[in-house]
Amino acid sequence: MAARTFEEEKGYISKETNEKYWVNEGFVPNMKVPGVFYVNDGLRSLLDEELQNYCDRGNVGGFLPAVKQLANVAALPGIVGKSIALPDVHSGYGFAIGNVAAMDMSDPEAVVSPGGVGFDINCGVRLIRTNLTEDQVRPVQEELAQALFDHIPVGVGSQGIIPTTAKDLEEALEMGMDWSVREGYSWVEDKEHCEEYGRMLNADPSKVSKRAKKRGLPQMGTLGAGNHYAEIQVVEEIFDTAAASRMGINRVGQICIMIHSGSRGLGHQVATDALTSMEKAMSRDGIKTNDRQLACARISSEEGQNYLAAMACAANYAWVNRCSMTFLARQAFAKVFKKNPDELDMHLVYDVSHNIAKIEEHLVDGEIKQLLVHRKGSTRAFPPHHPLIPVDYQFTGQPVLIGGTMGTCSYVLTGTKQGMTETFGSTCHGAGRARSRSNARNKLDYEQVLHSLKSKGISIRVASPKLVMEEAPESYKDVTQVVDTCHAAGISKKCVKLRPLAVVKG
Amino acid sequence: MAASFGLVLRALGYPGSPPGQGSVGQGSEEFRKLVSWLEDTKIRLHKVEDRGALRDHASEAWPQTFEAYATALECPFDASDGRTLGWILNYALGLEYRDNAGELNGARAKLVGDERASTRPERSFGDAEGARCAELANEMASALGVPTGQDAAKILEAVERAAKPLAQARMEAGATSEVDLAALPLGFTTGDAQVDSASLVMRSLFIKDLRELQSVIDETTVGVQEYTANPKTDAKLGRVGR
Repeated sequence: MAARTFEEEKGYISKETNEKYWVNEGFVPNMKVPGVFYVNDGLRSLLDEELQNYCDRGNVGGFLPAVKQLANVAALPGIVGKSIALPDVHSGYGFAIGNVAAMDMSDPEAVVSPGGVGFDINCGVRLIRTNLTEDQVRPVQEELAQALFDHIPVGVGSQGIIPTTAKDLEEALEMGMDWSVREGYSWVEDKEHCEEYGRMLNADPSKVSKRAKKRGLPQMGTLGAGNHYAEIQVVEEIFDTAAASRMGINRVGQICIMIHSGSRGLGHQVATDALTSMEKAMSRDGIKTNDRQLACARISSEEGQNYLAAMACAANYAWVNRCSMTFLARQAFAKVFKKNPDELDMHLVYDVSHNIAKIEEHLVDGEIKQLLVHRKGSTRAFPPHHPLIPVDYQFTGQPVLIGGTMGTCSYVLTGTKQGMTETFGSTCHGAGRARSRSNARNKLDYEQVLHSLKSKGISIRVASPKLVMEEAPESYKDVTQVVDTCHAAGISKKCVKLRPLAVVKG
Repeated sequence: MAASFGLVLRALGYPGSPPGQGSVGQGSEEFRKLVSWLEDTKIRLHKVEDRGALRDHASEAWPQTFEAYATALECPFDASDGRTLGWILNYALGLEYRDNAGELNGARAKLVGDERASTRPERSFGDAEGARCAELANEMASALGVPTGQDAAKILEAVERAAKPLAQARMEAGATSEVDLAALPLGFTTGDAQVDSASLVMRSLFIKDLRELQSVIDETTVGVQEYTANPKTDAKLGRVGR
């Protein structure tokens, strides 16, 4: 079949509203449901550009454009409703990052795909509030940034400073945040304000390979590198006073801490192991996909079940990891302000996961169905009164934490009823790359990037400065546009905007 | 006990001296006088001609008379119980109120009306000159950093001036404990506004219960942490700071 032109490809895309487009069946072979993407005009042009380049080079070489990936996911066995792309979507391994796909658990053919979760399983964001204000922090900003840097191990190959034995790791993999609470690294109240209460109950450490555990053991309680960070942020704007006040955020200028991190080498290894075993399962069960990267296995198969049990362990690991860093951040603040973290009101506002697959109940064509919802680069955003969100947020909807990129702003959103019906209760996760990592390395100079942060009054501590330009704001989409699109589309609601005062990175 | 008797006796308009703290017992003259006065003027359980025994304060048989009287009133306590007099007093007070409810309620409505109409609501304290009030005013004043040592009313005015902006700031920050129930999302609609309001109230109460349950669970877990938690760090294990 001859490659289609860009104009021909565009014929498959139809506009519903200014923020919502459909990718109709036929865009790629075997689509079982349509695709849908949420973008505004500015973000749309980025997707078009990608698709145009792909067409111009005759559908060969380079990476698949995100829209094609979205449609390929719509061709996976067992998918229901639609394959959804959020405004921060960009190409990833198999699935685009910023893609939601729900598989029908009652369909024996339905699959689970590690590509739909991502390599950094349960990568996520947590926000800790304080009762400090910008005026109190400004004078000690550098000292505070240094204290965080001195407490939290960061960077490629960094090792944790919380003593952990192999037995501890096994327990942590099984118990998740319950382990942190038991050992005293976490406050009891933290657990309430964490997605899944910080523990996936189907975790089975015996399904995690020795290699994965070996990678995970020394890294527990480390931030890692890449786009992960710990930031001291200040509340810049409050859009929804009532909801923000439920979260303990009640004034502009209030200081918060955001931690963005995941399951480190352990999660990566779990994903790699699963991809290998699933390739075999695919040929055995005769599962066909449009893209080799979309390796998957039937949910009910041994490979599928093993992956879900191991993924749950990696998710638990990531929560323990974020809890340990919360413990360290609380210590750093306590040291600088000479008050205990209780006095500083350092409560967890919420903790979200944006790389995970979970079994949830949703209404599909008026019928309640059990679905395996893959969220890759997408955050769960449940509406008010959903039974799975904490009692404190029953009237506001689930808080959704959107981490910006180094030096730009971050947001707190809340889940909406419309999001529940349209996107399986999901919204965006961050800015999303506009520029690939290698492209960024070629075009940006790290000294320039660091200098521009300093000129904005942001303290920065980086373990590997040369990797900074990969994460520079210029490499990413504008997070405000991403968030505004989700707000306008109604799939989540803006609540608070934060800007950074200090950044600690790998 | 004696103090609360005093208030009830004042309300009932008792002319005699109240049974003092030491003599609260049916043996005392004051006690017997009070009981017969209550029967004569408020309770009127027996006909006038049948009240002689109760009025015979000096009689040795008075305790038996009193016992029979308490039983006749269906008092839940034994005549010898220290709580019996209190019960009889309250019973009398209830009768007094029933007789004069219209008048008393009218007086209250007038008082409240006056309070509302008053241009100086800060003086609505019944006894702003009282010692206890002055003490509380001083306490508030020192908490707010307002100079003390003047008369209570002036201090209170200053306290009000100092507290208003603080309260205002809290209100603006949305930190009030009172929430506008109607502004909360119900999550569904029944099509009937009244049923919706009732559902919202029930939902709020349910969430309040849930919060209390969660707090109990948290407290219990914190108790367990006392035995299990021992967090530690060892900076030598990894490399931090550079």
